[in-house]
Amino acid sequence: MAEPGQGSLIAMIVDQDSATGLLLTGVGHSDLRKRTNFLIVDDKTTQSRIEEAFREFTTREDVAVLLINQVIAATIRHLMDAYNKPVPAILEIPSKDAPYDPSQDSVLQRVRFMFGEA
Amino acid sequence: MPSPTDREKLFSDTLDAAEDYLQLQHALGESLRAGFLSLAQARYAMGADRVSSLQIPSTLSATARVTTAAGGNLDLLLQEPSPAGAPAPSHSPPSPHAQDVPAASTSIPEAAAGALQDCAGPPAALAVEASGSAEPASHGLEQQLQQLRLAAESHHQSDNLMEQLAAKYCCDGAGTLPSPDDPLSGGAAADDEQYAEVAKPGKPLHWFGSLVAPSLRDAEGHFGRALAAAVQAANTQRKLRKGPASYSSAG
Repeated sequence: MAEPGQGSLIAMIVDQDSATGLLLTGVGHSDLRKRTNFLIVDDKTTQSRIEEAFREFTTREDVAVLLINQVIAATIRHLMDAYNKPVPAILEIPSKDAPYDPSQDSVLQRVRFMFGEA
Repeated sequence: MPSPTDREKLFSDTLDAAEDYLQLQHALGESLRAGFLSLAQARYAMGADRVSSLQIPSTLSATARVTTAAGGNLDLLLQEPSPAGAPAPSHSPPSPHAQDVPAASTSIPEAAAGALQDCAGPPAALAVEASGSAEPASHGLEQQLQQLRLAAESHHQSDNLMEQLAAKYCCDGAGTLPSPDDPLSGGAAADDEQYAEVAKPGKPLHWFGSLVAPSLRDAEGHFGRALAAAVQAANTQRKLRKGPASYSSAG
């Protein structure tokens, strides 16, 4: 639970460039147990590690928004599609190498699917 | 039973939310693109190693957070970074070892006094021996007394020096260090401003050095705008998630 009066955290599962830039804004946080609110994904990061970080950030009470590069989200699309909680909000953001693709966004896919059914 | 008008309104509201979401994603992408470009320029100017995740400290405290306002919308909250990292100067109380220092220091004047007393003997003996020649004996006595006075003064100075060193480095007059379990053995060096720890900068920009390239400051601004757009996109996403559910429940 976020400390009263201080707000909730913004978690990230992003590549190094996105992490460096976003951490400049001051979103990075580490608690007493050295748990951070971000995971920097590189070539050596395994999918299981990404899945573990996704589950951790979506179950933490002090996280309100989760930013994830769309390229990384594609590797755990099954978890993204199964996620339906309002908090934390999961936002797919573009990376340096890959622009934002609306057709890959899970939220827009869901909207299209729901209205497609109707 | 919801009317078709209500369903159409829900449908149009959801489409509006989707359009807002796409526009915010576009703005987010533009800001991120500009930020990446500025970051690349900063790396070119400062070096790739100086602008990387290697500079990220192990302890972090978030200054950019989100708060939940009325209605469930998220607001970006930017706090002032505290100049954290500077340990409070530990005003170590006079350690018990310091109390021993005066005792040790008193022993030196005592030793000097003892030396004076010891030396009082030989001069007296010299006086007895040199009873035959009074002037040379008195001259030698004066020299010895002068030497003893100088020795006593140097001892006195060394007492002060010993006290100073003992207080500074928190050890007794004998030069032994206190035990680690001693709670009063605070870092005396922390009291010394010369050895005080440099405060870790609170602003993330200062992780990369005290003098950073202007492009890195530009990158900070671009990513800040991207973060604001991301928070707004998260709010719009919340409406977007509610839309299909309400529409299907209304149908």
